[in-house]
Amino acid sequence: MIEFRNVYSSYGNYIVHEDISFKIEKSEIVAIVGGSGAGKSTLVKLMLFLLKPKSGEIFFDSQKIDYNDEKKIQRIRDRIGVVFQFNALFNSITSVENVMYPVLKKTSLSKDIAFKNAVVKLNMVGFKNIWAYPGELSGGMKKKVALARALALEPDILILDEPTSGLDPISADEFDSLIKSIRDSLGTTVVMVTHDIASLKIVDRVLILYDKKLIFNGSPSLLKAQNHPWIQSFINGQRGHCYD
Amino acid sequence: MDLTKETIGGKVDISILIKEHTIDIKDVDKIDTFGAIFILELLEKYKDKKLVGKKEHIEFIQKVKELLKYNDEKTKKDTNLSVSLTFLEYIGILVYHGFKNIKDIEFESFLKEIENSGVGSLFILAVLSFLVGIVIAYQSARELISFGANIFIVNLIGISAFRELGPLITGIILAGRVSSGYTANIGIRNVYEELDAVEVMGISPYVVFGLPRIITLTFITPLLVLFSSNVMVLGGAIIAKTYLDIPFNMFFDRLREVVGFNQVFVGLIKAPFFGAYIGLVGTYFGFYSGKKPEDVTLNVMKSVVISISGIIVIDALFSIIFAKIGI
Repeated sequence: MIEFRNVYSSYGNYIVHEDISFKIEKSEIVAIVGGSGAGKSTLVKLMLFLLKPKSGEIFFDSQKIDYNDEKKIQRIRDRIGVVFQFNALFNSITSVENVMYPVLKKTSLSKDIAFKNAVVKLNMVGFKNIWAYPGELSGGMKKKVALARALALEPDILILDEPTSGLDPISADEFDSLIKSIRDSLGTTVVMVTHDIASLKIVDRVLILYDKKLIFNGSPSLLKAQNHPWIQSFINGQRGHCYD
Repeated sequence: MDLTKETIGGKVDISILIKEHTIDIKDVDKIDTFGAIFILELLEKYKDKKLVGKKEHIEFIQKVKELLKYNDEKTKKDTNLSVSLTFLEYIGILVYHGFKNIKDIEFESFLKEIENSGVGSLFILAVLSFLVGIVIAYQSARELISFGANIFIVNLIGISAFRELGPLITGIILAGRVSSGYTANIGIRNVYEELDAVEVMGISPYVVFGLPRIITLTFITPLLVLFSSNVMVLGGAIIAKTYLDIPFNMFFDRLREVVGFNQVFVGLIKAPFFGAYIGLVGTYFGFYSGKKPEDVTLNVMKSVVISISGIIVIDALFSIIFAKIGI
C-alpha cells in the first residue's frame, strides 16, 4: 500500500532519515518506534506527503508519488485518516459535529447522512455521549472522538500519532483493542507512531528508527532476538517488562 | 454498481434499486457506511419493501443499523464557569490579595511592565499622535486662513491635544495594544495551568500577573499622555510652519500663553483612570477566560472592545465633571 525506497529526508542541512526502505501492506497494523528525535514524526509527515524526501521514492498503491501533482496528492490524502497526538478536536463544536465535519467539507452528502455516519462511527469506537463538547471529555474519550473523526470518511489508511500517550493503562489497552477491531472489521491499514511498548501486542510489524536509519523491520515477536543495544534497552528496560 | 460516499450524493438512480416488492441491491459490488445509511433511509421510506442482496451486504447494513442508535438528550453547551465573578468582585479580590500577599510583589515586574507596556507603546503612540496632529492642523488651517485667524491654530491644536486628544489617543492605543496583551498572556497561562501552578506554590496569581500590570499602567499612562500630546502638538507645529507660515518659536511662545496648567491638568488627571481601567479589564478577561484556547481568543476581543468603549465613557464622564466645575 505504501512503499518507501531508499528515502533520505532532511530539514535544511540536518539529515533526518538515511536510506529508509520498507513496505506497508493492506490491512496491516504497523508500529513506528524510536527514541525521541529519531524521526518518527518526520516519517509520518513523509507518509502524508507534507514533506518531500531529499532523495529516494515513495509509492502509494504501487504508483510513484509525483510531488508536482498537488491534486493527485490530495486525492491520496483523502484516503488517509489521521489521529493527531493531541487529538486536534474543535472545542467549539460537539463531538458529533467534529465527526460530521470532514464529511460535510469533503463530500456533497447531506447533513442528515453526515450526522448518521458520525453516529455510526462514534458508536463503532464505543463513544455514547455524542452531544458533549470535547472540553468536557477525558483524555481517553477525546481519543475515541478523534478516532471516529479519522474514520469518518472511511479511510484506507489510519495514521495514529502516539495514540496512547496521556492515557491510563486501562484506557490505553481499550484503545489498542479498538484499533485492532477496526482493522479486523474494516480492513483498514493502520500505521501508529508509539513509544508505548505495550501497544506492540496488537501490531503485525514494527519499524524501529535509530540514528537516522531503519534498524528493524519485522514482527514484534522477533524483537527479543535482536542484538542492537537500543532494541535491547527498549524491550528489556523497566518499561519493557510488560512485553514479556 | 457501488453504493459509497462517492456515488450516493444524488448520483444513484433509485429506480434501479426499487422493485415492486423489494429494494434490490444484488447488483451492488461495494457498499460503505454512507451507502448503508442510504439504503436504511430507503427502507424507512418504503416500509412495505423487503431488502434483497448479497448476504455480506445485508449483514453490513444490519450492523450499521445497530450502530445508528444514539442518545438524543443534548447536554447544555459548555458554559464558561470560570467567568463567574463580576468586575467589581474582581477588584475586591485584587485588593484583598494585594494586601495579603504584598511581599510577593516583585520590583522587577514593575520594571518589566514599564518596558513592555510603556516603552513598547512609544513608537506606535508617536506615529499616530504625530499623524493626528498633522491631520487636525491641516484641516483646521484651511478654515483659519479664510478668516485670517492663522495664529489660532496654536490654540486649537494645543488645547485639543493636551485636554482631549492626547489622553484619548493614548487610551485607545493602550486599550488595543496592552489590554489585549494582558488578556492573551494571562489567558494562555490559564490554559496551560500556569496560574494553578503558581497558586499551588502558595503565590497569588493576582499578585504575580495582575497587580504589577495594573499599578504600572496606572502610573505610566500620564507620562504616555504627556508624550502623545507633545508629539501631536509637534505635528501641528510643522503644518503651522509649512502651511500657515508660523515659525516654530512663535508657535511655541503662543502655546505657552494659551495652554495653561489647567489644560494640561485636565488631560493628565484622566490618564491614571484610563490606565487603571485598561489594566483591570485586560487582566480580568485574562484571569476569567476559561481553560480553552478559543475562550482566550474570544476574551481578547471582549477585552479590547470593553476597554475602548470604557475609555470613551470615562472621558465623557470627565468632560461632564469638568464642565460642572468650570475647568
